[in-house]
Amino acid sequence: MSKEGLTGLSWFGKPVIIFLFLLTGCQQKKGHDSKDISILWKDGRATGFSISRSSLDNTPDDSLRSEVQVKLAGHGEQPAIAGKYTLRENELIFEPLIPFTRGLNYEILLRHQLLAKMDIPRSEAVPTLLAIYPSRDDLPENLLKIYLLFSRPMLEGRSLQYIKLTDQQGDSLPYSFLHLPSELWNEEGTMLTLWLDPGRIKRALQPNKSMGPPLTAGRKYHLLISADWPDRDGNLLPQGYAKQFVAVMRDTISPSPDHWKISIPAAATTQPLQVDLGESLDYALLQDAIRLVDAAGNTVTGTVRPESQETKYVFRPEKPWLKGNYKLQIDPRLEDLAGNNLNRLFDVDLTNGAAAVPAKKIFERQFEIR
Amino acid sequence: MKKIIFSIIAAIPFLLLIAYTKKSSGSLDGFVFGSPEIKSISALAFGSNGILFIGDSKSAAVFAIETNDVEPVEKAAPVDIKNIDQKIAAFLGTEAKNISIQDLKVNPISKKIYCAVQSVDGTPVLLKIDNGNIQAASLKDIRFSSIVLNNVPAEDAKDQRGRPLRIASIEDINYADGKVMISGISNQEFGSTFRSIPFPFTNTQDQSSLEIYHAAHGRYETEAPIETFTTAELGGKKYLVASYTCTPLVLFPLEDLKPGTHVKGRTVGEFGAGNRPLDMITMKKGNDLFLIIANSDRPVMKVKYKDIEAFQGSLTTQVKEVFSTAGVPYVSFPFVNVLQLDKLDDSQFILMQRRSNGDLDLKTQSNQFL
Repeated sequence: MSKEGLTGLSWFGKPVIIFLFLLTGCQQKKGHDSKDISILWKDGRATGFSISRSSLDNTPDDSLRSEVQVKLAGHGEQPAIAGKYTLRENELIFEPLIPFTRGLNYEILLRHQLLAKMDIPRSEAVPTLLAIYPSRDDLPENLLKIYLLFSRPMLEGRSLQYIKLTDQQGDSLPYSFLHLPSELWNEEGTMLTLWLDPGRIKRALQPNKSMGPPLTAGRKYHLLISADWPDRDGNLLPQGYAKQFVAVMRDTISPSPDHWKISIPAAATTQPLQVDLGESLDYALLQDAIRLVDAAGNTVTGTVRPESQETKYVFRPEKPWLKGNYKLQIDPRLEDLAGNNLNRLFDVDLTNGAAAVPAKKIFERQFEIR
Repeated sequence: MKKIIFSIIAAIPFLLLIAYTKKSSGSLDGFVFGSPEIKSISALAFGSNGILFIGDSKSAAVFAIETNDVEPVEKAAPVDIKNIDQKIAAFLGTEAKNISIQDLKVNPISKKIYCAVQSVDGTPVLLKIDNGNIQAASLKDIRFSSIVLNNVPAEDAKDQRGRPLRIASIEDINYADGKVMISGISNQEFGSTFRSIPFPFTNTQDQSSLEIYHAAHGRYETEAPIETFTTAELGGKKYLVASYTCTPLVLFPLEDLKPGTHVKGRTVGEFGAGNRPLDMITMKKGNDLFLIIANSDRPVMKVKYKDIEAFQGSLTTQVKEVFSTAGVPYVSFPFVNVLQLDKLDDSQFILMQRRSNGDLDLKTQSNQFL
């Protein structure tokens, strides 16, 4: 456990006022001041506090764990919070099993008597929705995935309470998204992958037959993100968001790297390599499934960005291009917006022989930089 | 060659995981003494001798920990904890809205209940419920073993992108016949990923990565992730009994689940659209074995294994009416919104239920009810 923030009480690098004080009576009696207790911060989370041994009324070491208790304040009768006690030379450190919650108040008790109150300040950082992918506003009626990108880690596990798909009349369309017990958030908690219910998209499956597909070509929709969605610190989005789009014809063709147009940069420059994909492809897979290698097979380092509504793969090299042959190696997992990958369609009709096409392990496009 | 690179890269995190632990003297079976770096607890399962398997979606790993909780209890005292979420939240020093209960599993030896909890800031916690008392189950200074799921493709392209965009989630874990079985879903391919990993884990073991599909309707391939599963012996043969969204019940012979194979399952029941199976267990009453399934939008269901055994062939025709069911008969219990199920002992099972007034209760049912 690092003691980051212990002395400076820093929080996102800024000094903050910690609403923490010893009770006046106690303070007078013992002559303590607020410096005797410090909240420990790590990555913006209040992971514990330290209290000076002198504040603890000469309690013997072996009874500190039983005599010092921490409880949630203002919530009626509460049990002692579970956590780890560590004794140092001049201080006792308490770390709860989960960080103290921002915006809640706690009490530190010594032998069941209130010793100090501790308020964990709310975070001031406000979350925003940075982007929704696919970014285009005409989407195939068999659209499979939507990505939401936020500026801060959001509350996980209840996303579908805050996301709504509505039709042109503003009526909400239930059962549009696949509900997963473990939502698909990235590790930082800032990107959520949402599936439109695949069982409704795949033809002839029970949900498809009973409820029809989530989207119908020619109709307009709104994807609404509620302003009630809190981030992990409890701060709400500053506003609701709406993405309007129209459903267009079903996409039943796999992406074909053979048809991509490559704009080749000049040697000795750091101009980007631009690949015109001819259609919008999956935002996340575009960044994960394509690898650029030189003639010796070494990975070229640089950054990848999907651009122009994910119809362009743009690679910016770290170092100037060297003359020579290069290859784009494309993992067949790369998908279009309807989940069709390079080897197979999302919705395979086994009777028309489509599934019999042999799968390739990798697709390649070569080019030369001069 | 690529496969070798993937294997080496996949092994790196594994090596890192054990790098800061020390081997205890006489340590067998790949267990080390230390503090595993568990980033999330998505699913739990008990093996033999008090070994607890923890599925960690965020690390894409499974940990096996020694609980040392091996004092046998034949008959467990019934458990009844009202507002279990509030009680756990108080124990952790927060409010119920700031935690989620990810999984509940009973240690089949001690009959204590292990509970995986996640706080909104992402901190995972393992708790133990002993005679109704909530306690912390330590994940520090323990003997453990771990394995990283080696399905993270395109790792070698990491230097061409920013943050990793692939997210995998472990949906369910079970242990049977010396194997840990894991079902999962990733945000990049909508497919059924099922792994069967021999335990104890070794560095050189075969890790089966199976793609399972069922072609319930003959014409269209239906590939979907397993939501929940168990294993059972039917007619002297061992089977994987799996349930999917919308809600087919599918059988796969365990002997067919071999590395790299595609196994076609046999659909024996369709329990209705607009519903997800959440959990399933097997209970015995007299000479009858029952499969008990908790659902998102339907009551808890009971299916006789004898009926599953007697059901020949596979459901291949569409159910006629919207939301109707087909295949093996089942009985609905008057329990709705049951989120977790597990066998407590031979004659009782526990269930966690969200009641109509919003309370989340943990309670015990006798198999006399079956």
